[in-house]
Amino acid sequence: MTLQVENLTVEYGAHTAVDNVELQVAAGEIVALVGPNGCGKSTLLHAIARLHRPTAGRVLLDDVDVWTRRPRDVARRIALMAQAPEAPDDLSVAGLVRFGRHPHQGLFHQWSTADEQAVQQALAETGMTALAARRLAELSGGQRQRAWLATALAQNTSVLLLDEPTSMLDPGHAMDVLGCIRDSAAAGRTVIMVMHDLNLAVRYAHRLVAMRRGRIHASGKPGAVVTPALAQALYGIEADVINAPRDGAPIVVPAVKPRAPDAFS
Amino acid sequence: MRARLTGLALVVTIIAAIPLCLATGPGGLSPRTALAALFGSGDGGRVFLVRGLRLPRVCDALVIGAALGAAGCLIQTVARNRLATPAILGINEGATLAVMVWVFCVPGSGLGPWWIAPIGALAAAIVLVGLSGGIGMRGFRVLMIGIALSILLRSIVDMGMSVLAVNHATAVYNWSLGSLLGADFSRLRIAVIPVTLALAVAVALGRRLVLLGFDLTTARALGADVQRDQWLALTVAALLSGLAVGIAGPVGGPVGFVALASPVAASHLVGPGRVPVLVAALIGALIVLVADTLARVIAAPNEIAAGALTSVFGGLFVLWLLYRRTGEIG
Repeated sequence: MTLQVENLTVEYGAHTAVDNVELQVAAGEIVALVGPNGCGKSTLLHAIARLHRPTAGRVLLDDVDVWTRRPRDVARRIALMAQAPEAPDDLSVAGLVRFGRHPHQGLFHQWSTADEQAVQQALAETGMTALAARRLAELSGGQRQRAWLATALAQNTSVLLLDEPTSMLDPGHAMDVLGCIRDSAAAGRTVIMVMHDLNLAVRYAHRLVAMRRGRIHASGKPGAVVTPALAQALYGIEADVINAPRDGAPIVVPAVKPRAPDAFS
Repeated sequence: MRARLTGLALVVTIIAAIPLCLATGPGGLSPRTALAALFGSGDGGRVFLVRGLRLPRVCDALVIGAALGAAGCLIQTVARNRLATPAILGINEGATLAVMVWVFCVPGSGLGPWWIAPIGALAAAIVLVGLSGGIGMRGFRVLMIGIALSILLRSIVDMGMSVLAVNHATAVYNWSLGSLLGADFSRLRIAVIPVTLALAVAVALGRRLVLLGFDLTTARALGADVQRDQWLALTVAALLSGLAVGIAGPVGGPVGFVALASPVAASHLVGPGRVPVLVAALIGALIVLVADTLARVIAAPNEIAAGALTSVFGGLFVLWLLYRRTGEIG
């Protein structure tokens, strides 16, 4: 299972959100997509999931252009966890996760044991089994995010696209969720996740792809890509990159800029 | 499971209610004698009363109630708003206007054939979507433009009414209030076929439309063809409410109680994360059946139009809905 993005360009009116992007991701690989706000990360995910028609280029999954498939057929192969998802009112966690099976069902194919198994497994993998009967409105932000991840996992696709899967999580839960994502990659899934926390991204991703103004600015092994120059180019910040004492993974330490005295007055 | 049980309970209730409704009114019938007369036993007067006068009204009530309930369910889902109904969006007014235009252009042909109203409803739906610049996921725009459109169409109908010859105007007016008085099988016999087909499509659509409860990105990531489903739902809803209007006039009056209340009640009964088209249709059928029976007897010997009666309930229901919401938020 390979995902190929070929010369992809996506435009919103006159604005080019994704500009001639080339990307190949193999089965079992985790790619972390990083870059400043508005650099085209989410748009790239949406275009891969067949939600936004590209102006030029193609997205191939197993050598088949996603735009030649129907939306439901794509949803059986590619799951996308959106950045700020909204569910129907009053839904429970289990009710939400069951929607992950929706693309696998039809008018006459109703709920099956395979569906139930996929849901239970997804709940277990995200540690949400005990909360299955809770209503979404009663959950903390972090629990809700895990419920949405469980929904994407229950979809049982070969490609998993995650738009900031850990943005609402404390460090402990973030690492739980990333561990769970790593397990599902180890089971053969292709994962592309948008991350803002570079230090976490480098620990869990096999490859880091840095985007800037719709283009891929840098791509490669996290240890090679993350440099002070990258922090400067992506975020415009002065930063030191040091190596973690335990595993040598790069850590970005921003230097606090002396602020102009009247900045907030 | 819960949805199936609810549907079953409603079917049983409706079947049980039919003999009661046939018996209600002058004539001193009991449900048992009414049922006997329905199957042709008893004296000729009773058989005519039940078969010739009351049965057509019962059938009309069931068909238009089901059509309006399902249409309301579809429109509320597409517009993502509990207050969106065929009446509020101007779809009923489009149907009414089409009937009036027919009365103008082909004098002496009564209210015209049954298919005039659905065409008017569809035309209004197309104008509505065109003016809104697409259906849109938020639904708010389509709602505001729909309200404006319905006021506009209503005023055209009112202006036409004042120009129309008195006897025609009275006929159109009575019809536009939504009365089942004088119902017979002539319209229903043909219209029941498209209603059944449209209901079947609506029920099948319900399964797809559940995804519209999600944000746009998630709905599409789960495989929804959002734009196509919205168009389909709106078209089927316009057809259904147009057919209902064609059979019996815009039952539900200005508030559109049946189309408003049935889907809300249905959602309560079947639980979250569903688009209960079938249950909404059954509730709609039950509401119109009961409303029309009450309308026959509540001010006897005079009749109140079923539409006027449902509007009274409709006003109260909307108030209850708003108070309940405020309670939940506060």
